[in-house]
Amino acid sequence: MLFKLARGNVKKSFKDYSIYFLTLMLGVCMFYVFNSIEAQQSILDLSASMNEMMQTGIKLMGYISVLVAIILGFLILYANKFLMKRRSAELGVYLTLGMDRTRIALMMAMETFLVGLLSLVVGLALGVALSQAFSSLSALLLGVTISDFEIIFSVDALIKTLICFAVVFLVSMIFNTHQISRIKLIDLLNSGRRGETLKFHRRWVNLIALVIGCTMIGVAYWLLFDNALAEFNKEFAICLILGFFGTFVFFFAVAGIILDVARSCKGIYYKKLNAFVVRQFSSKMNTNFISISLVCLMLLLSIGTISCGLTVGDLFTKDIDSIAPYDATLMARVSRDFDREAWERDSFAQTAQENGFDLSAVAGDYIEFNTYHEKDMTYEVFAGDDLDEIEQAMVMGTLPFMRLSDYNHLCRMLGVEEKTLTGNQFLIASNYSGFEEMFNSFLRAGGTLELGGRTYTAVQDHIETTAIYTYMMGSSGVVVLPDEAVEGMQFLDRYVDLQFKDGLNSLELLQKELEKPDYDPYMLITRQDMVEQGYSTKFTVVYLMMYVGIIFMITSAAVLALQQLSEAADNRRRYDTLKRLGVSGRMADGALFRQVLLYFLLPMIVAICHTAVGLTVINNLIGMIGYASMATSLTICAVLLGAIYLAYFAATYISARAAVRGRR
Amino acid sequence: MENVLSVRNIEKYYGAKGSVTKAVDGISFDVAQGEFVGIMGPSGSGKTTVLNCISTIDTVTSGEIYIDGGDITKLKPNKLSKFRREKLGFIFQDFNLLDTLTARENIALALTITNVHPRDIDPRINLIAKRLEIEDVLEKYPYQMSGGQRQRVACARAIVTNPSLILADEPTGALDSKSSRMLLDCLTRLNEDIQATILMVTHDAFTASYCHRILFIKDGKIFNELRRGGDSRKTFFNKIIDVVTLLGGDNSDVI
Repeated sequence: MLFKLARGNVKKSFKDYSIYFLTLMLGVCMFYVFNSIEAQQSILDLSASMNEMMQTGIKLMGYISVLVAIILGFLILYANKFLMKRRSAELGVYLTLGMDRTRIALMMAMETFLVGLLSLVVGLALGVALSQAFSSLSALLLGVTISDFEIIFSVDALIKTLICFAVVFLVSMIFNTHQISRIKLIDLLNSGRRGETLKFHRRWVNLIALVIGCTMIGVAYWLLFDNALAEFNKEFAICLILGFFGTFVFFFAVAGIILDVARSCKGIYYKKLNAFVVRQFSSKMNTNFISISLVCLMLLLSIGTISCGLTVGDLFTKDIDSIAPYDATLMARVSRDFDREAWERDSFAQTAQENGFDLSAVAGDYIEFNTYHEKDMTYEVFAGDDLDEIEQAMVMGTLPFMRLSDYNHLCRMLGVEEKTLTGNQFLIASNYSGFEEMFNSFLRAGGTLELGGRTYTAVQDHIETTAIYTYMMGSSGVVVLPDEAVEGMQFLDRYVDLQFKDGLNSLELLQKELEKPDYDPYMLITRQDMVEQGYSTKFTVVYLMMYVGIIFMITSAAVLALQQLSEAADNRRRYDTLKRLGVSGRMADGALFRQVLLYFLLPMIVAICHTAVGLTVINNLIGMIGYASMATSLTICAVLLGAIYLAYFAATYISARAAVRGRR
Repeated sequence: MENVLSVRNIEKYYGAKGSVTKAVDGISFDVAQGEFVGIMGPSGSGKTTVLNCISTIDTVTSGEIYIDGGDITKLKPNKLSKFRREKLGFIFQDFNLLDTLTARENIALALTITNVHPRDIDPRINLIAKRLEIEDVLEKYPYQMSGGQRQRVACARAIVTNPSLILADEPTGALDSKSSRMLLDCLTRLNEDIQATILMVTHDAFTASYCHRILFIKDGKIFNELRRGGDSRKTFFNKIIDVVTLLGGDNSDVI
């Protein structure tokens, strides 16, 4: 009997349950997709080390999933509260009839279970479908191919999803029962009668608040531009606090201001149902300004993480070729107890010979060279005046010099044009884009270097972007001098750059050799390493940010939707009055549409403003590490998040309209 | 004088073959311009159904209703909304006003949906507010007003569009006696000063005594009609009580 009631209720109230259903479904879908990434490994063409690196990412996603489950849980509870309010009249009838509270709770539990089951099935189906598409995305992110396409299905993810769903459902059922045990019958029966006491602030309060709010946000923006995320210091903290609270103050005032502006515009205000729509929107927003501000900030996080994630992720792989032109680099730094004679004697070639290792067996072309430095000369000699804090720190690094003949050997290896320098000329080679502007300005201004009493002039007015070794950060910059000029300079580092003869086989041979203790001072950096690291970091970053971003978006949209729908009963009364006054169905629908639209639009607009500022600053920052184009990521972000937001908006409007029209 | 309202033999049935309820079973009457007519009857007599049909909220099963010469039973739904906002004014018992709007905006709503030019709206509101003595509550919200003030604002809204017919459904139902009296005086004034045609449904004899003419409905049919003529209101009231007593016997529920 109870089941029949429950099933009938669900069918009848399907439109009411739509938000609940949508949220659960999307939650389940996302949960499955992001947890099933592990299963993708079977069809992606990955090396063993790559697989290992992915594990960190996958583990992180597991942790985030816990957070996601908690957030979903809260959303479901919030949705339940709204559902109960919506059906308070019906519940009143049940209670008046004398139905047991436990029975009612059981019936509601059955209803939510039915809807939950449906959303679980649909969500999983959608998730499985999506995860196929996601494996293509993974392949793209990892820079690999799909070895053999087959439908991937992660039993592990399925089980996790089921457990998570079960827990969320159980918790919500407990809360529901608790709530039902606490409601008073008289409140349920009266719930339709009492209108809300409205919160309208006085005009001057709104004006002052608006000014304060906008100022706070404006200052936060300015601080952000000034600080440019250089350090996470007091300034940055103030910026965050101002932005955070400024948003709250802004939303406290904005609804009232919009109302006042509209009211003064009689030409628009006194047309059709405009007065009504503005009033509806403004009173709702005033009452809920706190949660709307939170929603706005969540939207900011959501948009920000997804668009940043894609861009930042890109950073890790886009310059591989230019920063890792050599298959392998061996690097040794001058040690503290430096002995010049020993250093000169124990070259790599020497050590290799002593160990019976023939480098030419693994490397087609290779070079061993040293870099030098002059007393305490740092990059400061090139520094202009307008350096920000990061740059100021970096120019304190020691300035390396190298020999022209070594440089030209490297050029030959890379197939790049060799250079000629006369006795007192120098050349700067750097592929670190952060210093590019600094070097070029220096050269264009005709800068010179003082070394050992001689003045050296630049051979050209721009830098060469050749990399002198394979290294994650690229090579910051080295000054190339004629061979004689380097005599007598202090040693700095030693490098051995090589191109493999036979790919992985050569690498294995080399790695085996380097296990011997004689090679301890040397650090091996391979292109392979960097490629794999780059891609797996990209993979982790992108997926994590997508996960977080999507979940935040779902949360924000769901909260907005539920708030709009929670006043369904009040709306019904009002729209009934309107219909009696002779407002046609179309006009009424239009008014409802505009009311919901404004409510969804305003926090989104503010969030986009904040994001635009944030992204501009981040883009400038990324320029330090390497410029990345944000266009693609912004488009993907817009499409993905837009689709979710739109779905919630549509569901809200349809539900609201059904509520207003009544179950006739 | 022209008949503003002509109801011709309307019937309203609910339900299907097996169990049919006749809410309205053949009612005909006319209301002339400037009349203040009341429809009285116990609960379930069909008086609200009649009002709903006349006000185009509900449709009749058969019969015709002419308002200002036009047969509204033949109108399409979108035309009905238009008709309602242009030709009719409403005062209901409960939840008349929109709680999120001020009194002024509530009254303005009736005008804005008929596309009256925005600049003409405030003057018209001010005029009617003066007449109904609600000037000092114009900028207040419904929850800040007394029940009587709210109903007078509802009156203002009903009359501000110069409708052909004002329909009132138990307007004093939720009011105490003093507010009831003020509201009824207000309606009387509208009727006398600007010749507003009013059709009021009520179950309360005191409220009904303010009308010129009363139609008594029982079981979906008109079973009596009373005209006030030159009677004082007190006399008329007593006549009404007599008729209600006749209703008596099987229908003690007059409240």
